[in-house]
Amino acid sequence: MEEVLAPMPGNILEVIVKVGDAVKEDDELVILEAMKMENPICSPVDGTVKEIKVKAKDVVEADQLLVVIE
Amino acid sequence: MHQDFSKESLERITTGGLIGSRIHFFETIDSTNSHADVLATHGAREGEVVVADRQTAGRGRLRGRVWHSPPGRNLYTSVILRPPIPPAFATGLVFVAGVAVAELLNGYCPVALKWPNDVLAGGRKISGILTEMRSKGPEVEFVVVGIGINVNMEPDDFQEDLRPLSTSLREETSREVSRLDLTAGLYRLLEQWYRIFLRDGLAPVRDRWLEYSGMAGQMVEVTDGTVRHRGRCQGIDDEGILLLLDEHHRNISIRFGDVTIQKDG
Repeated sequence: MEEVLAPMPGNILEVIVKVGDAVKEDDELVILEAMKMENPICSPVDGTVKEIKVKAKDVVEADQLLVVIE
Repeated sequence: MHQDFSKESLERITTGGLIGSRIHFFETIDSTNSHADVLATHGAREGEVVVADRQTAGRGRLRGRVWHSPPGRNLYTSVILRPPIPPAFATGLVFVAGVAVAELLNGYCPVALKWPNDVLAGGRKISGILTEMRSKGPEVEFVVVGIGINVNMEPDDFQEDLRPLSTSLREETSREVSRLDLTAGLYRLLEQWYRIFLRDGLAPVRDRWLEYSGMAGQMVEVTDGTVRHRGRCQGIDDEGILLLLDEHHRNISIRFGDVTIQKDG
């Protein structure tokens, strides 16, 4: 089980994956934006999307849980 | 009219610096940012740049909005950086790019910065900056700083809906501007401010940014979807957060949103 955390505070521009999607390492999961800088958050491992904890336009803090991969 | 703008001519004018140490030039490309992202993912070094004479799908800040990019007119470039800093500090590079572009263009015509990354001349957009970061865990893998500058666009070159909102160096100065000179100046200033940022943090960049913004002390309105804040701008803090004082003398910290300076302020 891999928990994917926000590396910085920001808002969620887009959620790219759905629960149940198979993902490979480095596939984009979520696009985070801060100060108009876009930060694609990528999967750290090959696996399946188990949970998505955010939706578009959500405001997140650093280290907040975004996605769970198993 | 058509000046020599090529890989060879660019290499002649960018010798020696970090930024522009390797030039990936294209007559036509979908988006310089997208290509720089691919290059960096495959190991391109810090300072490598992508330059295109024309973009077919240049990306604006809002996903899906296209930056109008005809050939022979403008500067479109994306710079790969690999700053040894945590991801949360990388947003400072948005301000680094803004200050570099503002200093560059201010040598041609008066420009103003609008939080966090718009560059305006006479209240109209003259440059677009789109910064993207890839991070892995606690580290920045790379940042792509994409910069588009309207150089020799004439009013008829702009799409009709953008015409009232956009301008170019040619419009502002009534003369043709060398894209080569502009590119060399951009890389030099970006490198200068990038090194200051790495050495001293955001504070000196922020101070310069505030000089160019003219926002300090002004009434501004910030909208983010349905949320609206209004207050007097107190400046920006060391993380780039916009600081407002509202009519009830409460401090408001703004991380996102579109800013408008109120004319009646």
